[in-house]
Amino acid sequence: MVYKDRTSEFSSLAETIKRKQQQNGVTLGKNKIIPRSQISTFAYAAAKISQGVHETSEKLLQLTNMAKNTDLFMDSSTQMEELTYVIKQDIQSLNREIRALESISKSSSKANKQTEDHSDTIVGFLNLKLVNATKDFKDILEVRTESIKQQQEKLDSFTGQSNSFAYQDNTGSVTSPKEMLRHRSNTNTRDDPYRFDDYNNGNSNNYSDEHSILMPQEMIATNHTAERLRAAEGIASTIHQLEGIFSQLANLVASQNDTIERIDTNIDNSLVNISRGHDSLVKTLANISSNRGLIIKTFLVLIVFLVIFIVFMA
Amino acid sequence: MDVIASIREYINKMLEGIKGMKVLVLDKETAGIVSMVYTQSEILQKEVFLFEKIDTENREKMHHMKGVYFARPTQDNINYITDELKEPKYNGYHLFFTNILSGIHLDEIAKADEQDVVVEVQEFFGDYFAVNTELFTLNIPGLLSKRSTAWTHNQNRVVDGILAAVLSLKQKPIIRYSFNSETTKYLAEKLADRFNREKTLFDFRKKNESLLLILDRKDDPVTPLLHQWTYQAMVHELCGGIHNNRVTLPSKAKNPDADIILSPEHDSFYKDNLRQNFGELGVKIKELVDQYQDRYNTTSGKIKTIDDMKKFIENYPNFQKSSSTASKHVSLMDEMSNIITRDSLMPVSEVQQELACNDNHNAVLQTMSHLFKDEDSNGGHLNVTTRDKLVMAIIYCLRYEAKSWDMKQTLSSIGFSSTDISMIDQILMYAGSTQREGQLFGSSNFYQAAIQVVERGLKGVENIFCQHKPLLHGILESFAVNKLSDKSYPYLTNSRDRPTDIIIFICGGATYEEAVTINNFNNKYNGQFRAVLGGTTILNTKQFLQDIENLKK
Repeated sequence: MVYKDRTSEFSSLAETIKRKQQQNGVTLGKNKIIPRSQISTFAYAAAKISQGVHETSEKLLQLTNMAKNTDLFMDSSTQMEELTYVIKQDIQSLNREIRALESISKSSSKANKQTEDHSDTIVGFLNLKLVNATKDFKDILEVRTESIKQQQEKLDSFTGQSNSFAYQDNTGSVTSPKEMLRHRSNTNTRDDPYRFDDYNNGNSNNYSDEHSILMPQEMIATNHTAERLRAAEGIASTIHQLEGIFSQLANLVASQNDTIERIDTNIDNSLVNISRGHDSLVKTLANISSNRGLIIKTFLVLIVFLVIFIVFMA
Repeated sequence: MDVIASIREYINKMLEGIKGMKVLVLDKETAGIVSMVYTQSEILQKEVFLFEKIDTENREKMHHMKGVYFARPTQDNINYITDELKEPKYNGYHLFFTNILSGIHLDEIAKADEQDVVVEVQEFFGDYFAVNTELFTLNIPGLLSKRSTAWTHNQNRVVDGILAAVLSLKQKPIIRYSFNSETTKYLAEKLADRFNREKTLFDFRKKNESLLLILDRKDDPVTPLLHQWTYQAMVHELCGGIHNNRVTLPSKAKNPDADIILSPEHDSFYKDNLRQNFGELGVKIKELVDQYQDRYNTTSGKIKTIDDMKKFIENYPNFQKSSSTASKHVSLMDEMSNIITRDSLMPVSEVQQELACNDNHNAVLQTMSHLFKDEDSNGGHLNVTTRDKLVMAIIYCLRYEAKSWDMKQTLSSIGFSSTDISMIDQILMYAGSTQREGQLFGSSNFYQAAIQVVERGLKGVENIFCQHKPLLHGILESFAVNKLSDKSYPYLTNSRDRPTDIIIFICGGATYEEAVTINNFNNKYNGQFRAVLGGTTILNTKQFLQDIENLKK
């Protein structure tokens, strides 16, 4: 009886069709709702993290688009910085969640080895995804730094002035980069009036009365420069933090690598065992066949003697 | 190599794999396929509580039941399924197709399955009607030649059917066909192409190759024309034909409930005797009736104690069953013997056998002319039907093709219409000696003919009504001694070893006489060779003449 099961083919087909439909914006009549009870807390958390990573990478995409925009006058640095902050937060929280997930999978050791392996793999996978996202983030920030530098140069060549103001400002600011980032997002709790204005209005007419009276045009440019610098610093600090996350993740990846290597050696071992088994089977076969010949010969001799005995003696 | 068992295995696997209450949805053909091997009560035991036809509209919604679909992968069936998937009626759809489902159809179903109700999609190759353990059919009449209109409509169905049969028997065949027949060559090539395309399906562990021999009806036009004397063949010939194991007696045609069901799987008497000839059958039926009478006497009459009552109740279903079996076979026997005496089939059959087997021209012509005048050789009165007369003339013309002109003259002199007489030309055109492959009427070789005569003289003829052996017999025997000519039955693909399993497929239809031949062959070479016979349909004289007539159009 021959039959062919095409269920798997069918389900994969159904899946691709569904995906296509979703891409085309066709909403399906009923989304499949999996009962909550069927999913373990682990799977639920994993799904949530994966979704978080996905959202973060979407934000990253947005950020990339903005960073690529090097137009001098279409400045979106405020938005960008906010976005940067949000993404940073996201990544941190995701990282935390992955830790938590790991602990969950370790604590529920009552399950068998397979589920354990499975959860390990999932944690590893999520880590990998997060690493990728973080790497993207870092790249974007680098791009951004680059573009800011370029703008700065442009600005310098236009204004023909050294950015002494920026340096001034720089010396004045005592806030650590981290704090700076925080300030930028929640504008209410800032103590620096300059920066406050800076962010509230974008243009800085009341930055300083003196300056605005004396050289209004130059003023704008200087403000701009200062802003740029701050942004660059912010980015630098973020990169630093990311480095920390990276090293953590690198550790994880290394541990995974260990597991994979172990699997590799196991497979090699089994291969060796199988070939050894085969060899011994062949040997046994040879043994048996040689024995068979011997037995036949012995019996032949016996029978011949028997015949002789019966015919001549009896 | 048991076609009934393979179809049953498929149905078992299908129904036992799904737990819980089920609805079995069948299409027109699969309903026949299933009903030929399974009774309703047997299926009920597998928790199938409802049978539905796939084309029934407005079926009731039953979300507590699982829908098991067993259907051919035709466009119509796919449409029915996709329509229903948009508004599911059952809890879960298990789709079983009897053949290879094309990618387009699978795609259509996947598209329609918006609510994820399809649980599985399987291909179970039960795509043919299993009649006896060694006989299957596709139930498509009129496929005598590649040029017929029915052929163009049904050629894919035939290829599907053979593919399914080969797969369900788990064979990996090499193909041979009949050299002189375009039809078999075409079919063989199509099949080889198909086998090649579905290579993965043939990927099972089997060392021996088997043989798929595709024959053409025109190589042996005589077998379906002769009167048969074995039980199954007689019923098919005389009682209006067996259709999916159902027989409608001509005398009771008005009452649709009076259909008789003859299934070798469920009627042991029928299974034991379907190859018995008429005389032996009479004895067997008498035994059956005696047995029944014994039982009747023991069960009825003396119920005095509670114990007797208990015994009676326990035996009653059995008793009832044997009573229905007995009455069924007795009424069939009655019907057949009535027809035989009414139409004087004994002398007619004698002449037919004489014509088919012995080269005795003048004597046969003498008897025939008597029969044409409705009298036997001693001058007694007979009642020969016009169809029998025509069939005799046709066999005569097939044997003595050169004298067919004289025979046509004779026929017109006794009042046959020109359309009837043109049947002779028709059949000579279809299956004249130039069209045929192999030696239908004995051997042309003098040496072999002499051996035949000597053999007959030594052994004698056992039964003059059953002396004819179909061409298939010769083919099988020469195959068994490895002397089947490569020229007459060429290989499509080269092969190295000699297969032991043989699947024979006859384009244009098989006959029950050939099924008996196959059975005898299997018994003779028990264990050494196994053969299965298939046909596009199962022919009787009426069907064969009708198909020949349709060929003209």
